[in-house]
Amino acid sequence: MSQLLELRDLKKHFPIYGGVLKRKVASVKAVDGVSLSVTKGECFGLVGESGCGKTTLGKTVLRLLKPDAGNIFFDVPRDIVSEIDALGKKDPKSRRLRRLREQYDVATYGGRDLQFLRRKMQIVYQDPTTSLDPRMLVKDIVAEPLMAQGVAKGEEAKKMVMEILGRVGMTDRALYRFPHEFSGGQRQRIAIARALVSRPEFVILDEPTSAVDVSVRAQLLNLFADLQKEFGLTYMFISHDLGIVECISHRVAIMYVGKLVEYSSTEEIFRRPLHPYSQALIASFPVPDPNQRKERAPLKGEVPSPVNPPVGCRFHPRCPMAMDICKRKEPELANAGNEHYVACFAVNQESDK
Amino acid sequence: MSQRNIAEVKDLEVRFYTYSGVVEALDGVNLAIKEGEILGLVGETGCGKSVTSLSVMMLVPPPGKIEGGKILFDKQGKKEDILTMDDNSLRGLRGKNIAMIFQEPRAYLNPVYTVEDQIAEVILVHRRMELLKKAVDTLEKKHKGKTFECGNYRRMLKNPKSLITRLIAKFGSNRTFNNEAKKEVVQVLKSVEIPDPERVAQMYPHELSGGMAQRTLIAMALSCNPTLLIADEPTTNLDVTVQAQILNLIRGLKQSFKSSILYITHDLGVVAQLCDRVAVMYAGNIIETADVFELFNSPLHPYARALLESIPRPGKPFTSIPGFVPSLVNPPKGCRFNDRCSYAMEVCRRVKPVFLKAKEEHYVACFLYGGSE
Repeated sequence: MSQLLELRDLKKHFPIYGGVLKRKVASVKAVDGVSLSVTKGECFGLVGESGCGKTTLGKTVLRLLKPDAGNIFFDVPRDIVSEIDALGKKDPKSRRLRRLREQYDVATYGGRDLQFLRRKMQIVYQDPTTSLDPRMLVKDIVAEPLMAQGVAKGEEAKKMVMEILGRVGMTDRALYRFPHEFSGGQRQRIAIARALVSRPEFVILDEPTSAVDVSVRAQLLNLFADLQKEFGLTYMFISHDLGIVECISHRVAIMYVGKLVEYSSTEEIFRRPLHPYSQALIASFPVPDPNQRKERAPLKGEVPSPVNPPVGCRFHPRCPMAMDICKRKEPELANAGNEHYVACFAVNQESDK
Repeated sequence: MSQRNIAEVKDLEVRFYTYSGVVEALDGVNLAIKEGEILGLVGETGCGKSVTSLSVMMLVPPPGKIEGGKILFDKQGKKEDILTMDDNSLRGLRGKNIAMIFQEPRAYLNPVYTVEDQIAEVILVHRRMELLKKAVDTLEKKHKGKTFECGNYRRMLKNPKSLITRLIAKFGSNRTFNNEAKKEVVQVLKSVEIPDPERVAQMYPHELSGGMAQRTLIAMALSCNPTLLIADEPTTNLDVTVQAQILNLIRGLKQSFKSSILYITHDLGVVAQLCDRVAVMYAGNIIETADVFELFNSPLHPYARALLESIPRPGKPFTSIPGFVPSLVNPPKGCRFNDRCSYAMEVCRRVKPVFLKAKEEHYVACFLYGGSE
């Protein structure tokens, strides 16, 4: 299986300006060193609580935000990725590295390159009421990516728009209407059509079902699964709803205050969560079955602010297994067997023995 | 079970008169909340969950009007119809006997007052007499009750409605009295497991995190020990781990405060974890009520069944309910679910099904389970 997307130590910090001179006084470390890889054709689930940086990560991958550090490789041959990795360690200032990064690293792209890139990468946002322009007709909304990327125009564009609208379950009657004339579920379908009209390979779904009702949610999830098969899409599914992620994703990463704490196959994560945060998160999820009641809240306290994350492991103030080392050193993601990566001293020590 | 009903909603009808037509938001809702139970009210957006809860408080916003039915509330063993009460007795009821928690806690907290001020307001309005007695007690211990302040309090206790005591209450020095209220606030904050309640009491709402703000709102609702607590999606905007904490808190409060709770949500997971009984709503009607185990194990109404099946479960294909929730301006005739129902019969399109007992403690409004024209 080939890797479609690879992230290396990706960072995105937002500056906070303050004081009389409006100088930078601190920064929100929204994404602080994330490395992961997404395989072609899979659905990669990204889970975390609000404010942990999931959406920022998604936007940075699409280059809607410029990362502060790190590499983003999209559909780059393996040998070039490993060459860049090797050069980065050995000789970070070499000319060869700079040339390679300009050519292959999405993090350095600009202008034209980005325009071509976005033909292959798209996003569906959480709330279709705000992500669709209220003053544009549906036909213009869906055709806009085609115009912007110069794929098609005129009659040809209209044909493509009608085709994709039919594919997401809308009729031609929708073409000359405004977004406010549709229900939440239908609006989300329009947003999906807009994302897919330029036939991308990779789509980021940023909580696409959290604004719709339970019965409509199932319709949308089915649609995502069908479209994935039909167009051979790769998804990054960002959500806080563990129930959906468990059903739709092949692999899952769990994020906590700007960092990945664990990632593995869905089976592994839900059957055998290793990181104490993942365990607590999965235990907190209300299972829709009254026979499986949990009477205790597994986790005390709240998510720390990403402006001043705790030193060492970011989870240690809430962690029931916190040791001395957790307060001093930051744990790295390490393989705990079976392609199961965890960033926790307690877990990694055991697997070393 | 032969528990007393704390509140009974009977054939409640609410309509909203909008420019685009009359929205029949509630069409004959029947609901009974028993003593000391958590009743879950489930349904999709716009099915009338929140309107039901607002009606119980007589807070339906215009252009909405309550146009029929009864809401009987058990006030010390005496059943009173909330819909016929005058404003004065309603004011005594709201906040004291029936309290409410909302979805967006920060929108319901006043940003320019501290937490202490806002919770104290409820206590000062509804627990005046109790606080006065406490203030007199403290003063008697301290100064043997010979101060001017203590005399004032005694006068207020004896004759609370006379002009002179009202003037004293408004303009006189009430330091001890106010201090008692502040002590009470800290107590209440402690009961909702807020760490360091003395400090939090001095904070403004913007300084609180989402979970803390929700706890504050719960504290406010509980400060007068209400018989009925209405919680309108209190955990929808919170994170899973914080949601688990709040659910745990509500579960604990049910035991320690012995309140009945009407818990409104669209999350079936929360219902399964928390509630004792469940009522399922669809397009302004309650279509099924049952014990939580009964409902999840053997739902009867086709909508309830479809709703439970639409919960994503690993290894199973997603099943969805075909069609859309009908517009309430022009709801379908007969059973409002008939156009999406795969069991729909001819009679369903003409006659509205009545709420019938299907099993012990299990009621359903569907022609499949009996009932005729």
